[in-house]
Amino acid sequence: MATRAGVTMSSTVDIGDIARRLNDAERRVFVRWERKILDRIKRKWRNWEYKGRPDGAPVNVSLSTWTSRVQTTTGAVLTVENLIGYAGYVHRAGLPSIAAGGKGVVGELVDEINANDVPKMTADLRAEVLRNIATPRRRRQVAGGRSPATEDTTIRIEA
Amino acid sequence: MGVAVPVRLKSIEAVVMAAHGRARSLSVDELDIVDEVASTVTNQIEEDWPVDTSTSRDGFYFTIQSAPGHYGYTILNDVDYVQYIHAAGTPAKPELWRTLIPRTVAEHLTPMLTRLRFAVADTQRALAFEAAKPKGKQRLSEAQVLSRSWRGRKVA
Repeated sequence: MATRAGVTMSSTVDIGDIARRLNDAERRVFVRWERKILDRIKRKWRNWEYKGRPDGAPVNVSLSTWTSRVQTTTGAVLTVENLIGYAGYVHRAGLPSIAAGGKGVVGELVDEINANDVPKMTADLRAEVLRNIATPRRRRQVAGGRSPATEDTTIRIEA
Repeated sequence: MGVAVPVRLKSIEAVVMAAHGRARSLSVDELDIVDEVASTVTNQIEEDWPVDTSTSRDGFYFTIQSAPGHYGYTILNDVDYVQYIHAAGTPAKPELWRTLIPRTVAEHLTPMLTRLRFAVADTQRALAFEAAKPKGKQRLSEAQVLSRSWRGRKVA
């Protein structure tokens, strides 16, 4: 039976009881960590053996489909995902597959990120929140849910 | 509705086609360049975006296209009112995304294309080196070469 195994990893940073969105400075700290974590994943997601892959077949496909987003309106949530159907099954040649009880590359990444990045990201963000907690911020007015762009809301650039 | 700005790197597709003889996927080093620029562009757009609830600002993300013969990146925002947003004190049209996103993309385009041309040359050198290895010597396949970083490595 074939199953799809895209990957979504979400981390909600515990920054205490602030009942507001992150301000610009706090958001910048969070976005820097978003970038670091995504880079860690992409650096590990390479050097594949591609055994038996014919010349000319697409490669680095799943590398290019890693994406990340932050949500900063209520608290701080970082989501990193790869929705390509086999990402969750990927393992290094010579190591056990997921079916055989192996962790896979995603499992290794989750361990690394939780051990190395999440504690530092939490500490950095908390420090920035504490620094800003009493400082009022200027707000800007802006005109006006979710859905994909249409042809009218797409601009194509070629270079 | 949301917005999308796909940036297609046709000039680099042509460079690869001329150097490689056929379309191929972007190598890891080439992908890193596109990724870095797409990230910088997205961050800059977010910095310049007006903020109220910041839902629309959080909605910006990018995807990368690296398949044989189709290279580029796309800046997207799926928040369904984002196409109507304009900065306070400016007219409702043209909407902010129509000017800010293309302008930010344009700022980073030429340096990216230059870096990519150098990266393509390095990748092709690595591919040629492996292909020229005599029989009996361990040789990386094209897929393996494209999946490794050659930055800073001396090839041939």
